[in-house]
Amino acid sequence: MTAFGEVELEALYERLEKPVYNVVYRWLWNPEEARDVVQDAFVRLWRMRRRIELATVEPLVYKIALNLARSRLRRRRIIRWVGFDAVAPTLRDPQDVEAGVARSEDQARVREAVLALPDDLRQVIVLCEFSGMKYEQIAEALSIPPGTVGSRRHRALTKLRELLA
Amino acid sequence: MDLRDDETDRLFPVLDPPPGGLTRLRARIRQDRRRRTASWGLVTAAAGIAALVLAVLVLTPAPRKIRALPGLESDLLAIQLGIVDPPREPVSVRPDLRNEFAVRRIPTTDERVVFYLVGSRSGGPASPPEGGEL
Repeated sequence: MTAFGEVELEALYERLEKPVYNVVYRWLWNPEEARDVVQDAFVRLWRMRRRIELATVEPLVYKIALNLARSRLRRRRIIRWVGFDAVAPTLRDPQDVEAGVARSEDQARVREAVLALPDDLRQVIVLCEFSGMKYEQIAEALSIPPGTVGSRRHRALTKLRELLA
Repeated sequence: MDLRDDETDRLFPVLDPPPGGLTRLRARIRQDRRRRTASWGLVTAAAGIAALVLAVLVLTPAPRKIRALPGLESDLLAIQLGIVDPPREPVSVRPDLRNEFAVRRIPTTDERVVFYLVGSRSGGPASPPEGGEL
């Protein structure tokens, strides 16, 4: 088993921070929460370092990050249902408003469409689009057969096209 | 394997994460390491205390049973059989006070327990002098 120390963790973080962030962001649609989940995922990975194999760590990172994102989304839904979070999220930077109203509208439509996908299709499409992993690795991260990754990706894109037409 | 194409590029633009991620991660790891070291210290201390308590329990001798004075039972049996004389009555009235006080032995169901009734012959309250013997 290859040693997994702080140096290896940092190298892995530098390589995977951006793709994992993009995957998690498409789950939570909130930059701060997505950043926190990425951090939490790597801290968990650090705690498990003696039990993991560096060569096959990548699917594990996505698996942990997706699980954390799902938990956070569930918690957010419960909080919203109970009524503690009545304030709608707002754009923080005024430049966002000027620079990209049209883009924001497009992104809002995409967001609605992605959120409308069932979980199993959504996790496949975001991993396929952002992780850069092979089907086999995505299959390992999601604990499904590799063939299912391709079929789910196809179904997810078809559904997205329908929703965005 | 790049699974992206023009369509997905348009749908899913790649975003940059907020800056300072690696610095935050380093701080989190340091904090996590400190917390774990502290909790290991607590676990070690608790284990030490538990071992000490166990050692005290194991090494402390069991309390000895309180036994009757040796020979007491056989003495009583000897008295009952008439082999030896019973002991002298431990409570008696001094000869110069015998006109004033009287002592009567009250029998009980236990031979080893004896009550004495001390009374005034004149009918007043009995107030024996200090010292045991009347």
